[in-house]
Amino acid sequence: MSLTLKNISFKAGDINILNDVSLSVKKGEIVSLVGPNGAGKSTLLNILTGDINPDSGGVFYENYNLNELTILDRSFYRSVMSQSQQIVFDFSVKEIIEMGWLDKGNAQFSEHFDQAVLDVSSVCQLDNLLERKFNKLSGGEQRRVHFARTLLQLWRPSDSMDPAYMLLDEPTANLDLYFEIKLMEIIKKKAVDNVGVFLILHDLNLAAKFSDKIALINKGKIVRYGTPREVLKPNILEEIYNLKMNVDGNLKVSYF
Amino acid sequence: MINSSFLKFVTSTQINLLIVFVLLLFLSFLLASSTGSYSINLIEYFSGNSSELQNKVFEQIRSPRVLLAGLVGASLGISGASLQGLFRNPLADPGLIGVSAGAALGASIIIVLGSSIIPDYIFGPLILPLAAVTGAASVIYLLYLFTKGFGYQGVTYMLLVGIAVNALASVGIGILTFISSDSELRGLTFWTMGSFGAANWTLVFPALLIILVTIFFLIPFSRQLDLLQLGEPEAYRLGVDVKKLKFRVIISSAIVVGVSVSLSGMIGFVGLVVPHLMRLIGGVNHNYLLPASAFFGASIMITADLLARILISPAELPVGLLTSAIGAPFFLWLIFRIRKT
Amino acid sequence: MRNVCLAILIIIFDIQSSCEEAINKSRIIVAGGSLTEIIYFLNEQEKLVAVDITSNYPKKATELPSIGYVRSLSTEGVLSLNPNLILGEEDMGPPLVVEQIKNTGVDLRVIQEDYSLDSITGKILCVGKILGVTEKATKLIKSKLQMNIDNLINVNLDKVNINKKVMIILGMDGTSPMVAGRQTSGNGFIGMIGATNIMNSFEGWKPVSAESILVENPDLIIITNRGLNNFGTIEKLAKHPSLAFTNAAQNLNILAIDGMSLLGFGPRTIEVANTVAEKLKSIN
Repeated sequence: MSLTLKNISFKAGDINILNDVSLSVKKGEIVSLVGPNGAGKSTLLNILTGDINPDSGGVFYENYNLNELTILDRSFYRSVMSQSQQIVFDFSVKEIIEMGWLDKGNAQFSEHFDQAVLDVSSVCQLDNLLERKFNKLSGGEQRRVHFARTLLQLWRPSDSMDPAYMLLDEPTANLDLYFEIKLMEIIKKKAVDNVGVFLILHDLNLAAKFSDKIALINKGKIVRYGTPREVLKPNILEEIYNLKMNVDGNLKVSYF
Repeated sequence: MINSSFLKFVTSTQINLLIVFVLLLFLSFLLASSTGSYSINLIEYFSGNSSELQNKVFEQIRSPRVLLAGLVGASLGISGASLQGLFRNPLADPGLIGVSAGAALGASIIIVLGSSIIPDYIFGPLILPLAAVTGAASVIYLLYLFTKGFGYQGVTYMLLVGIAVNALASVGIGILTFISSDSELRGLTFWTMGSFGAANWTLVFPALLIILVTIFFLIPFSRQLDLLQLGEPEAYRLGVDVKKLKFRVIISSAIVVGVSVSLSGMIGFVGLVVPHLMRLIGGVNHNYLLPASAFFGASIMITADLLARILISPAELPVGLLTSAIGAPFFLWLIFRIRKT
Repeated sequence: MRNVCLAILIIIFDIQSSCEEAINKSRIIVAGGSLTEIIYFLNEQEKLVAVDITSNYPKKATELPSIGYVRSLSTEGVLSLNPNLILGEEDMGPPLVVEQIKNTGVDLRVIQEDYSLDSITGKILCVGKILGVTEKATKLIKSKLQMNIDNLINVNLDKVNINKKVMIILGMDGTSPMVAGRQTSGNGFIGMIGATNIMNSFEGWKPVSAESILVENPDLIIITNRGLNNFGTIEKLAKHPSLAFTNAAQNLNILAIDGMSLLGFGPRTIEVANTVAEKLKSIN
């Protein structure tokens, strides 16, 4: 069971953004996408979420072609966190988190709703911020709120076999070191609970420490795919990043 | 869909506020029904202590007018709140998308040129509302064409088209103003300032129609409007069909505004200020905001029309003048408040 | 009696310098429908060079070149027609344009008007004097208008219509009816027919709510032809809730009259007033 991209190509005007890319995220697996800026990472994510239609190739959510799924159905499979826009009206933190749940109208979920909100807030250490106004929070705090929202969207009763995938674009940006690690630990825990995680990361060390698989992308092509040990080799990295790189035995990547 | 979403996402404070607003509406309705130049009040009417003529005045002149004011006020309140949610802009106003200008242009054409282009009084006094709705519908169609079905380039583009339409309509109305005779000009001037003076039961039906439009096509989508505040991509990812939502809100608002303008001229500030005030008082989620804007908008409009009727009796003030006179300074105050924070 | 009245009027207007005979009067521009009417009444129309757009009677006048809307004239436009005499009423404007035209030395006269029977004859005499045809003017008034004038004077003296409640509506375009208050041509007309304007508590043309109309309860309602347009027939208008319950509507005492002849205060207004005054006598 996975989310899969098969032979995806995408052009913007005359420019080839993605060229015959294939990738998949299995349930319970953490896959990181790394690569230089402009390599096509965000575009790839947007095609996976269904925001953008590829020029060729297919996107599959487990057994279904994405095209067969309604917009609402898609939201049952996966939650997404990327760059957030400014929120004009003065919602409370609790209200923003609650937006993770559109209105599934599903009796099974609705009776658990309030508890689920408290649970994800607690996991993200937002308990005492719930009644605060979202716009008054710092950038890092706001990110954690959005993360809590994505967790809520994927909330399932513990015995559920329903699909759950998290797609995250630079989730640790703007977070201080403590929460950077805390967030990655939450993600790790989720994977243990059988959630499939797809991450775009800048930080190669974070990728090394927390991923099951790394996909290295450059100029619209996946140049390397495999375990961190297989992918994070100095010669490959140097060619891609144009920097002198060093990788030690513990997979610690250093570049200056 | 209304039940689960509404109850889950409205706080108990908000429910209490909504009850208060309903009571307020009821009170204003009672007051307006009992007051007017012609002496007849509700007690006399319902206890049977009134003459036949008094009954007729109450039934044919006063009640349709109060009802019309309430329905238009509620509709403008809801559509204003919806458009502010759609454009994610607290300054959005039903006039922004150019629809009221289109309606005004349609009506102006009839006021100034009517006798020379429409023969034989085909629709009677309904010709004016019909012309206004045609004007409004034309603008909606233009918006649809230019934004390729409301998807292209998002709401910013829509606003630009709205600005252009407003400008074009101004030119049209300007030309008509220029060629109009004194009496046509007077009629045009007063019409554009808004009035419920032409109210009768025939006109109440289109007003009922637009309220139903808001009830079926706007209120149930309150939750989706909430999610839209995170941004269009985010809302999509959370399961909202954003394109459909935009289409729905634009079309519904345009119909509501077009019909309102055609029934009672241009009445400004209600769609802009009422949602603001409701947010300040009770919160920003749309499940509360839309109904609150409806109830409060109706109360405001009924009261404004009451004042319009009695302040300089027997002459009338244009009701749009009153809503602007109260709305404009209030709006300035709101801006100061926002600047401070 | 009538000779004395006429004589007095001639003297009064003699004193007004704006009625002094014009030196050059071969090319006349007129801004004001009633003044154009008067020129045709005096049979001096060959001197007319151009008129404004409110000058729509007689039909021939519409064939003349147009100087546009009386309140927004253009200096160059007017002067390009080489007039030596310009006649207008108080609504001629904008004031800056009027000043400019005066400063070029062209003879520009503002003919006074106070919306009364006397002011109509006064206007005719004034224009006649300016054109140097005072005798013709007096003769024409005597032969064509005197009977109606006398009848109207009598109606006023005898106070036969004094208690009749009348209201004049300009139009009803999507607002409450636009009604004549004090200081309007409509108010003046009601004065001419010797009746009472029920809407005399405010000035100018204003919208009046249906309930207020009913409270005052007019016996006769006069509406312009243009105002009737949206309704088609008097019967349909009488059914409109704004008017339906009034005495006037119940008895179908509603008259639709051409706007310029009703409110222009030219020679036609005298005839129209007389007709209405007679009709009013038989009401109530």
